[in-house]
Amino acid sequence: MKNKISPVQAYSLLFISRIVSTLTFVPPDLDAVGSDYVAAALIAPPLVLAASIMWLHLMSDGRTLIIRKVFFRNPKAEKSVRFIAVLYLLLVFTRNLSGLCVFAMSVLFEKVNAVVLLTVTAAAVIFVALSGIEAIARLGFFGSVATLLSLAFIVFSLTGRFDANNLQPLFLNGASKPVLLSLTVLSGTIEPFLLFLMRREVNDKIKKGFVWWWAAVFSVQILLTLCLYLGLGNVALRMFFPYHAMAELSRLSIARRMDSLLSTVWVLASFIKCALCLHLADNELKKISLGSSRVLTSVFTAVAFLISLLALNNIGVYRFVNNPNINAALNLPVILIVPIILNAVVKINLKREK
Amino acid sequence: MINLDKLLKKNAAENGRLNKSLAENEKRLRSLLSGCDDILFKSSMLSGINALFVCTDSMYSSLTSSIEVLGPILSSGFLPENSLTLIDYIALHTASDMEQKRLYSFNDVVLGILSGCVVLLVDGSDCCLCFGAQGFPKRAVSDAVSEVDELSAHEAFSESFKDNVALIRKRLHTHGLKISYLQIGTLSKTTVCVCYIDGIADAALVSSVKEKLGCIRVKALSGAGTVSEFLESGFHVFSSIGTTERPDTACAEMVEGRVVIITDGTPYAVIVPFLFSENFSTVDDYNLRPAYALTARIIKYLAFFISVLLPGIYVSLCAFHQEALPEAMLYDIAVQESITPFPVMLETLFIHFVYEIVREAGVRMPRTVGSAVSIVGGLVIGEAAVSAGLISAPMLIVVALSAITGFVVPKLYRNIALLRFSLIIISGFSGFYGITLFMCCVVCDMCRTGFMGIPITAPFSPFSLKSMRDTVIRRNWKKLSRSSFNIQQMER
Repeated sequence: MKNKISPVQAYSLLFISRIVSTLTFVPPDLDAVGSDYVAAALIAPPLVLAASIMWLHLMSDGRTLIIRKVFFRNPKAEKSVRFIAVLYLLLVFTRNLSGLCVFAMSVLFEKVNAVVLLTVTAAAVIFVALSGIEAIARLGFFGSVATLLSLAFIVFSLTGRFDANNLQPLFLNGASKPVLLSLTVLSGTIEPFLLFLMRREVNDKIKKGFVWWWAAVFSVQILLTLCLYLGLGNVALRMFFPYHAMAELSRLSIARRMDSLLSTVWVLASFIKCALCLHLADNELKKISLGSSRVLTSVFTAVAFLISLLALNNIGVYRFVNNPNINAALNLPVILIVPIILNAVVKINLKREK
Repeated sequence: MINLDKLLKKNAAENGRLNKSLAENEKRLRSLLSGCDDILFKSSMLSGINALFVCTDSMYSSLTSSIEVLGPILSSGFLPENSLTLIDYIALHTASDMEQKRLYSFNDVVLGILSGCVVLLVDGSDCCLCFGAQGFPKRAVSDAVSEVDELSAHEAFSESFKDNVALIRKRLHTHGLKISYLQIGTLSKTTVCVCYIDGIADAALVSSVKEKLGCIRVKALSGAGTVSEFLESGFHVFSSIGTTERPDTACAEMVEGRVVIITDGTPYAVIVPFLFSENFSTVDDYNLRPAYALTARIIKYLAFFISVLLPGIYVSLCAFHQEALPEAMLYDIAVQESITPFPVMLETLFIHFVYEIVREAGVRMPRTVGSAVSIVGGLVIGEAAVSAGLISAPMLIVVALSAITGFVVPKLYRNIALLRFSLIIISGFSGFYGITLFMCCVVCDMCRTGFMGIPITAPFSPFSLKSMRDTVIRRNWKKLSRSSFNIQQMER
């Protein structure tokens, strides 16, 4: 068994991860209008690409060797950095797991026991995560295809509600709100970091398709935002989950509402993202423990389970875990600051060597 | 090349060699085969030397042995008077048209006798001749039962492995077709044939299959199902090992680099490795125009999904997601369901359980009674249950539809039934959420299932555009013939 995945499979996983962030997007209280969101959808891709390219630079073996030489001469230091990565993954994992269960409890069935729901979901996630990166990646590929087809169907069935009057000129209220919104998107983009953690498990040529993939993902996202705006106008932004509202209004023939379909996509994508996070955490824990990581991974899962359980029973904890400001404060260093520092260190060392 | 004679001599040294004295050999054989009244011992005198023919009654062909063995020996004008040269003379000048070998040990002699061969022992010789004059009762080659096709050959494998090998040989006239025999089962010593095309099948795959077969330790090999279980690792919902009862399918699989295993006494062959998409293709697809084949395959894929998901989705819609149904349909279903005493999940489980009982009874009962069971099950129980208000009419439609669609892909029927039951229970507790989680786990299990690095989900994932030419779409033969497909291309 080679335990390697193809770039297409890796990008499928990242697509899933990105689509979860999009579908679970909650509009921040900015008094923004629909055109601000469409404008933000256009500004965000270049910003995210610029931030991603820094991680992409760090993915070559030579550069990781320099980073190891500079930062990780001491094995303890390396373990500490890996531990921080695990903690970050714990946050992402917990956020997704609790989000998935809260969604299930609030939208699908209100009377279900939180412990049972969380236990079943966590068990399924563990089963998939421990099946190995190949199984997760293949599942991710099937998930991506299913997600794309479902979204295309939902958008198609919304076309009857498209109204050109909903369109407003871009930047009608100035550029500040779209820029702030696009920064929110940037702070929620953890995919380059996930790709960095996955790099050893992906075959070659991973860098080659990166820009094309990124363009494709953001095209889908821009198209979705545009359809949302065309179909629902400014009303969409008053909804807790705008994309869910979009699916509720979609109808085609005897299918009256598409929210069940979107819920399925949502659950599928969130589930795969959770499994990917757990798998990556397990990988890092293996490197920390220099061998079997069963105990550490069990502790990781137990902590995530407990936090999620607390979040399900206490809305304050849930809000804290999913607080956009806290998330932005934690995500931005990962997306921007860490790669900037590491790239600078690499460059300085390369110059010194010359 | 392995020298069979040397191997048998070595075997003899380890397992008790034959004596030169015929009397002692006969005594030992009679003692080994004591209590076996069907063993025939026939003493004879050949050119003044005592000889003994041993065979198993009803396992050998009296006609073949008369014409091919006894006739030439008895009608020979000259027979050497020395026992050693007598054996050589008979081996060279008589019975030339049939399989024969020299045996040196009691174990081999007993095995030969019990396999239906006629064994000739001669006084003064420490080896004997074994003639392949088997003639045990067997079923003739008949029509395929479970893989019925309209436009292709109707021949199917039978229980006789020699006939099965012949059915393959007559379709593939190439010296590249290799057929290796193995014997499995400490008591049954069942013959298992490993068939592959040298130069097309991956050598590592062939040796891995042989190695795994060689590791099987059972007393009696009951059939190809046991072989499949030993080849597979762990339990998976869908198998990486396929079966076929059609020799043309087996040949087509070998042409694509797969290994076919034929087990004596089993009327179907095992194919390794086997992809999930192959469950949906039939030989007819290749005899029809591509457009018709495409339509047939799309119908099969849809039928598979309907059969697996429809009961679960119905339960979910009724129990949790009523908003997804149009008002008129929702009203009709609600009215129908309100008169039934059970919750919708129990009702679905109950009616599926009844259906599976009827199906199982129909399969196991004698054919003449089987149709009566179907009528009783279908009309009486179904109609009466609806009239009595035990089940609703929409439920009956759902069950009937999922049952019929399940038969469109017969190779997957058992998997479908298992998934259907699981999904009914899960959807009864957690609706679409549970269905999604469960299907994720099933797909993940499929994704990790494979044989020798070839995943069953290929060529969908890992995606291979080149190999997609014969999955859902079947391209025309002109395009298919331009480049040959090999299963090794699917290796991850």
